[in-house]
Amino acid sequence: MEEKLYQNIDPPQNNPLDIKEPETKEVDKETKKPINKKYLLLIILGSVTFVLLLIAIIVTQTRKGNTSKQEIIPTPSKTMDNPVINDSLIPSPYQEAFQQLDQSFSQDPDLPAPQIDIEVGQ
Amino acid sequence: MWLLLFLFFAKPVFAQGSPDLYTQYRNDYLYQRDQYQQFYDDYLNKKDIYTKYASVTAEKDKILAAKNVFLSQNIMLKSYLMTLRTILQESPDNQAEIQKYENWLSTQNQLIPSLNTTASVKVWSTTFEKQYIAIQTTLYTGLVQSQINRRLKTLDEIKKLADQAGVEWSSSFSLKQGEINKYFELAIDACHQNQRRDQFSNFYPEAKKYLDSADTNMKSLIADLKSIIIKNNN
Repeated sequence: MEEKLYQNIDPPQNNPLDIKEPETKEVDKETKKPINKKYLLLIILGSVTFVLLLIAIIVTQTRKGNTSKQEIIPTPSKTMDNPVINDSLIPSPYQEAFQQLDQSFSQDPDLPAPQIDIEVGQ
Repeated sequence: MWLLLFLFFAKPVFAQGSPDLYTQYRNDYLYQRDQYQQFYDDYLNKKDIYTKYASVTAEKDKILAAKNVFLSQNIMLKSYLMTLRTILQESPDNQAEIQKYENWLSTQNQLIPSLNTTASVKVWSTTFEKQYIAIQTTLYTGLVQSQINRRLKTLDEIKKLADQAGVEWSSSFSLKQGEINKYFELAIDACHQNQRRDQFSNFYPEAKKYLDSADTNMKSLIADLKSIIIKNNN
C-alpha cells in the first residue's frame, strides 16, 4: 500500500470527507478571549501616569511663566542712572526738603547683629 | 560672675543732655559686645587648658568660663533687642515679640548660676541653640521692619512735598508708589520663610535686596518730582 505522506497527521485534520464549516466572520462575543487582568492593570496605570505627566508639564510651564512675569517689573535698574538734575535750579522754598529726602537714604540704623558662638559648652 | 549678674539687672545710666535713646542703647550694646568677646576669649583659653590636662580644676575653670560667656551673651543680646525696640515705635507687634525674648533671656540668666557640671552646661547650651533660631528670626524681622518704616516716612514726605508744591500725584507717581510697596511686601515675605529646626536660615540679605530696589524707585520718584517743580517754576 502506498504510504500516504500525511499518514501521521491527526485524522480529523486529514479527513477528505470532513466538510469544514465556513469560518464565521462575526466574532462571537461569548467566545472572545477576555483581556488578561495583568495587562488591563498595566494599561490603566500607564494611562494614569501619562495623564499625570501631562498635568505636571502644563503646571511647570504655567509656573515658569508666572515666575518670569514676577521678575519682570518695569522699574529702573540699579545701573540705570536717574537723570542728573542741577539742584540749584530747584526753587529755594523746596531745596531744603529735597536735601533731607536725599539724605534719608543713608539713615538706615547702623546696628550690626550680634555674632554668637552657639558651640560654647557643647 | 556675680558682677555680670549685677550688670544684667542694673539699667544703663546715661548723663543728662545725652543723645537720643537709640544712640544710648546702641552704645550700651557695643560695650556689651566687647565684654562678650573678652569672656569668649577666656573660655577658649580655659577649654584649651582642659583639653590638654583634663584635670578636675581645669574642668571647673572651663565650666565657670562657659557660664560667664552665657551670661555675657544674654546681656549683649538683650541690649541689642532693647536698642532695636527703640526704632520700632510704629510696630507694636514687633516690639511685643522682641520683648518676649528679652524676658526669656532675663529668666535664663537666673538659671545659669546653678549650672555646675559639664552635662548641665551642655544641656543649657543645646536649649539656647534651638531658641536662638527664633531669636534671630525676630531680630532680623525687626531690623527689616524698622527700615521699611523709615522708607514709608520718606514716601510720605515726598507726597507732602508734591502737595506743597502744587504737583498732582499723577498715575505715573502712583505706579512707582505701587512698585515701592510691592518691594516692601516682598521684603516682609522674605522674613516669613520657614526656618529649619537645627539651623538659622538668614533671610536678611534677600530682604535687603528688595529694600534697595524700593530705594531705586524712590529716588526715581524724587527725580521726577524735582523735574516737574523746576519746569513749573520756569
